[in-house]
Amino acid sequence: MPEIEIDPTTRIEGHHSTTLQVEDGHVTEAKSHIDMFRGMEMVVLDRPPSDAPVFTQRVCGVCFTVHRMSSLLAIENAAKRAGVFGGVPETARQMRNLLERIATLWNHAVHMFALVGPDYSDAVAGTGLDRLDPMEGEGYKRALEAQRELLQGFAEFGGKAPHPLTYAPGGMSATPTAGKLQNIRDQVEFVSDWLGPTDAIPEIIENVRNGEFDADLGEGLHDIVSLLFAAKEAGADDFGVGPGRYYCNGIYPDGDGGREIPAGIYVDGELTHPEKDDITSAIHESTARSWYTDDSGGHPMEESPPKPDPEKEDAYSWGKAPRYDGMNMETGSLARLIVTERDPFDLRATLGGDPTKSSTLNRLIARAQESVLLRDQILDVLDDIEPDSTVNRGWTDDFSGEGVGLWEASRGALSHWVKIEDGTITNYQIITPTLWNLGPRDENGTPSIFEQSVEGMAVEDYENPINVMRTVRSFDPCLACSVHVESPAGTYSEEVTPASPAGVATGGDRPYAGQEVDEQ
Amino acid sequence: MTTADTETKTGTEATTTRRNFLKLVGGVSAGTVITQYSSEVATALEQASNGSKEVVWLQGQTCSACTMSTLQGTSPSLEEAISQFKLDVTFHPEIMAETGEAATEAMSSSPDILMVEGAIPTKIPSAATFGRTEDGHHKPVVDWLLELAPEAEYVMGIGTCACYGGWQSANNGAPAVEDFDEEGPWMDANVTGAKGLQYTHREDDAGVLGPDFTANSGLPVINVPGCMTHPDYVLLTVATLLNGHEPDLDEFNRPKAFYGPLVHDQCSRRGYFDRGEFVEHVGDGSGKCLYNVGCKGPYCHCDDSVRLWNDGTSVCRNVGAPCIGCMEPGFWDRMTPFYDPIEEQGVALTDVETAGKVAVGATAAGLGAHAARKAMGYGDAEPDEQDETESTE
Repeated sequence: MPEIEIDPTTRIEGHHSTTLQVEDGHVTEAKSHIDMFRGMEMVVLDRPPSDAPVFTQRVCGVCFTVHRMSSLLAIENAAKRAGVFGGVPETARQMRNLLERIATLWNHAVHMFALVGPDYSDAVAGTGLDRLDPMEGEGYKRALEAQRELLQGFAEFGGKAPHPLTYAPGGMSATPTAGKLQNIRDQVEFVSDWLGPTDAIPEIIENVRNGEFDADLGEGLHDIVSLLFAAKEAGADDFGVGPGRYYCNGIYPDGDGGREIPAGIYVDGELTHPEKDDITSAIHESTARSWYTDDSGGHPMEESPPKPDPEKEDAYSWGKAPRYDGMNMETGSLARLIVTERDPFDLRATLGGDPTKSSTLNRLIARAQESVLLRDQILDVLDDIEPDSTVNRGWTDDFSGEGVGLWEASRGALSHWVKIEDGTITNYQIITPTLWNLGPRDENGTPSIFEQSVEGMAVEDYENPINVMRTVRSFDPCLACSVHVESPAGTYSEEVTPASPAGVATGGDRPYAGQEVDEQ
Repeated sequence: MTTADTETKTGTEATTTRRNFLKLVGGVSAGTVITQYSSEVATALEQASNGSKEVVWLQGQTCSACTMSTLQGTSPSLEEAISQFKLDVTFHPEIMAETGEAATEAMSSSPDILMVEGAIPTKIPSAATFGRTEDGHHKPVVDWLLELAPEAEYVMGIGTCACYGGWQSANNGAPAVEDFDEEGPWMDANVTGAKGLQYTHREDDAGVLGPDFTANSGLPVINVPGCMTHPDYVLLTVATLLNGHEPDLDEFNRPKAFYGPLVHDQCSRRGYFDRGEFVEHVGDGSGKCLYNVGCKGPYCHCDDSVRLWNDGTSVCRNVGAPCIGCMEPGFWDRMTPFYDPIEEQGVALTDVETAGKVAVGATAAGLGAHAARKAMGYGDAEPDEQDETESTE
């Protein structure tokens, strides 16, 4: 049986690779390899809780706010339960919600144009969309400029970006002066003008259908809609199909104990909104196929820090396999929109065919829809922040307790788990959205969402499995990740050259929608 | 506070680049090569160079923030730099069009500039891999580095991880708080053996390429640290090198143009420090000196106080955040806890060179000599060894 290996996966954050077993032109088994281990969960041990957000922020320079934020939520949760902390001031809550929205919008812009956009560009896939060509297309260059403006707005409070410093235990460190608020508004409006007005979307869709381009309606949305139509043309509504189970931690606290996007679980067509305790008790991690010792798995609050075992037999990933009540769960923009029952402009219902379908196209559409929602919300919440109001009432590290920070990175559900004894961290665990979406198999052989979603996919051109690459990038993985497409000697000897600029998307590369996972 | 000139933000014309470049080099300290040759370098940017320069950007154990930071450059921007400096980026895992084997085949085997982002794991080489070896195994980044570095004209360490090992090499706290009953890498201080290219955070341990390494240009690895690095530090160092100038380097091979100033000396809150007026806590809105909540400005060298970040938008202290010392080797251990002054001491000496400039004065609650050694030293050496380090450098 031929084996295709794609290594490295480029245009993602981190080291990743994929191995595909292919039989009769279809993927029978996929293995998602996370090819990097650093040991954050060991390095933060034996340090004071207030150091954890600064350290764990450095897990990722693309999700540079969410790890700091989740870590803060975890230690603030522990301090509250220990009775030494009364919560962050109202203005700090609003500033965090604002900055998290800006960061997610920024991430989506970078993802859609720099990371996934080239998959649908003329240079890479012969689609005719030369505006999306890497580094040279007009759309690509405008998006690079827009993301800079957005981060400049972010840096008004962040100090710098990536790796801003303003999120501090107890609230924020930055004072929201009227001048800084105005500067943020100016930058966001620059980006907003680039995107174009929300209510122009139907007209933009018509333009794209007719091959017309009206820059006055917004270059950004035009390019994004063009990308979605190119994905549809490539058949992305029918490939990369996962099980359709979604998990969202909720985000943006509303000040009354709830969250503007609530936690949600969507299984078998049923949507529920679990309490925090329900979520934290449902999560377990498996290290059965991971390069860690067996006792590195279990419940996040009880398991050992990840003890590397690089020679472990049958292991193939530096990622663990998190499961929710034993199930693999998809997480990300699509999950957030499904648990809030939103489908702006019915794009997933019409273009995607079904608003809750787990497909490569729906993941892209959801990110575009969320970008528009975020832009509108950012301009609203900016008005709520009272200049020069209290952002922090102080913090002490001197306590014992446990805490969990449940949050949403732009690419999905993120959680940080901490145990503190007498002001020192004694256990720490991080479960990233990329582990949910692209981790390895668990002890029962259940694959991760990505592994499951490409099994059954048609691979006509072994040298250019572009739809597999489109699918892996549709999850916006963040891990320095690679996809290996390899061929054992004697079976299939071609080397793989996927998604190169010279390559052309194969028209006959039709998906194999809904095919069951075949583990034979 | 902003130094941004909106007129210069979006230009892609050569003249605009020249203006940006001059604006930018005007900010660096006098007497450095970039200042001395600024007009020459700027002129060169306007001229077609002799063919393109091949660049390879490797990622080791990285968070990618240094790549994301480089995307934030405006004077020049990355896309301006690529077109104006005629850079042929033959490999960058995050921005290149190709993937899989096509990506590694596109990589130059003898790049003009090899840039490395992220730490290099040496005890567990498989902790950062990409591509495959001839026998089909995941190829460790350390192998790529050892192949490419001797063939490169210049090698640059991008960010604190590539320069000194980064947080991956910070002290593993597990043995102190866990009851491990079996031996394994989890008992080691540096679990994966993460190192920088020529340095680590320890004086007694060299980086992957060793202390005597020089690239084909004859220069050692040029380090532009920071967590993350500043886009100007990357792109202007490239401009300097491509124009044939040797940047003046400090003891950690950092260009003095950028890493010469002490943050403390250029601090806008310095007046509060000299008067002994400190914040009550982080985020109190007073705008006073942050030393007592852990500011490491007295121990950290870079010019971001005047250069600022994100096209002149802001800097750490402008948002009430104490400096974490992120330009310095081993800051993850030497500058922590982040929100505490080092060893809770009063104002300390900074180093032999700058001690005289520090206004200790009325604010000195005590001269934290040991604290100063911890912050300024190279690695976690004992005080006596530390003194020796300072005197020999």
